[in-house]
Amino acid sequence: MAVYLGSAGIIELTRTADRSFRSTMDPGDVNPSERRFSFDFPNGTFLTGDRLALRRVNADGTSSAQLLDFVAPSGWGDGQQHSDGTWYVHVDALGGIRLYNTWQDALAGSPSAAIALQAPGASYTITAELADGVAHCLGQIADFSISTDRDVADVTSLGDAFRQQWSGLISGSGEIRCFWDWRPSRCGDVDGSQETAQYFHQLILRQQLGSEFKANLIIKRDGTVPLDDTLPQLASRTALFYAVTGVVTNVGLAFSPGEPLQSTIQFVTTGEIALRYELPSAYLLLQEDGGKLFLQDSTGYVALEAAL
Amino acid sequence: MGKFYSGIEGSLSVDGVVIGKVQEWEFEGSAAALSTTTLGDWAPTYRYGMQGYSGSCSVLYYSVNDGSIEAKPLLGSVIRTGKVPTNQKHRFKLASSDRSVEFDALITSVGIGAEAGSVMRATIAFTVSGPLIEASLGGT
Repeated sequence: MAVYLGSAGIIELTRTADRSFRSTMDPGDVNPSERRFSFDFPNGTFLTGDRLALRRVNADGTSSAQLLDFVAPSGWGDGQQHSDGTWYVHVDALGGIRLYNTWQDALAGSPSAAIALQAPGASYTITAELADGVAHCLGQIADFSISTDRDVADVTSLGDAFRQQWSGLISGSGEIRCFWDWRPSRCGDVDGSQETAQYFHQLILRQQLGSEFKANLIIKRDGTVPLDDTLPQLASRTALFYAVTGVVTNVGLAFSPGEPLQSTIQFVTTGEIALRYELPSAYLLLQEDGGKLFLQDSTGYVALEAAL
Repeated sequence: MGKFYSGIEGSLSVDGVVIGKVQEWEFEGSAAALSTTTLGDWAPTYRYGMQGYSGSCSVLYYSVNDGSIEAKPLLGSVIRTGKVPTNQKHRFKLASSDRSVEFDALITSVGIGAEAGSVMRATIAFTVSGPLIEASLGGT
């Protein structure tokens, strides 16, 4: 009988939102020399590290063929302006935004690494929507739990001697406890690639875009073996995890002298709850240095099909 | 030896066909009390007038093997595109074990609801037309 320890668990977090935000971009909103811009949005709508899809639209919200001309052509991979683009953002204390190509650069917020901007020709309407980014591990987790529930509907009819139940909707909920931190540190082999508990404190206060997040709640990591260490090699390399979209419902922080600061995050799931198996790394297409091959839009890796 | 009656032995049939997915039925009878009080009486007196009966049932919205809705005779009386025929009645029999009540009735209302996470149900109300045909449910 295999026994696994809870220390093998981990959470991979992907930023997401199911709503978009529309506003107006005016020429005065862009400061090309500082590579910084802003537009009318409530405080906390966008968070540093979010992957934002900006799109130029008509005043009625329909798609526009006009260019997103406040971003310099170097902001796109092909060197040409388009009507939309996706970048990581750094949001400063005054609500100013800088655009970056990588999550780490966005967290660092260096003006020199930001994408170049230029003054727009006129005012126009834009929409901002959170695009799913790459998953980052959530740091300093003390413990987490997830439960899945199934509603039932009573379909007992006259003449039945036993109650009949019909399985209905599926839902989930969970709780995460992390040691509080606000500066990302190392996750795996990449420095500064870790989400922190502070992100959830900001997420629950995000009014316009909601408090959704995507997470892989990993039950067994790649390489984890049970206490008696009897798994075949392939099985030991397989990761098992719940893939969920969660909505943060409660975030708490308790202060006590001499005790570490811990954040308690409660969430409910929305949409599908999937229990998945992940192929071991040997089945991912790797570069010569052993690193995974990212997709150009940074939403995943390239994998090889393999018979298990 | 005495016995209790329960929903395990309950059934509802319409026009001779037992409706399988009935969750509950209710039957109510009333009789008008006509006042015959006259001057000089110090306590009111009454005589029975017209008797009337009505009821309701709740059925699961369920399709049988041929794809038709099982409670179609009841639902289709009101939920329809055309006018309800003026002489349309249905022969009901509400039973529990050896006790039953049988009558002809008009369907007066049909309510169908769909709710996230629950099965669809239909609530049907009916009014009896004419006298009861069989009334062992009353204890006789």
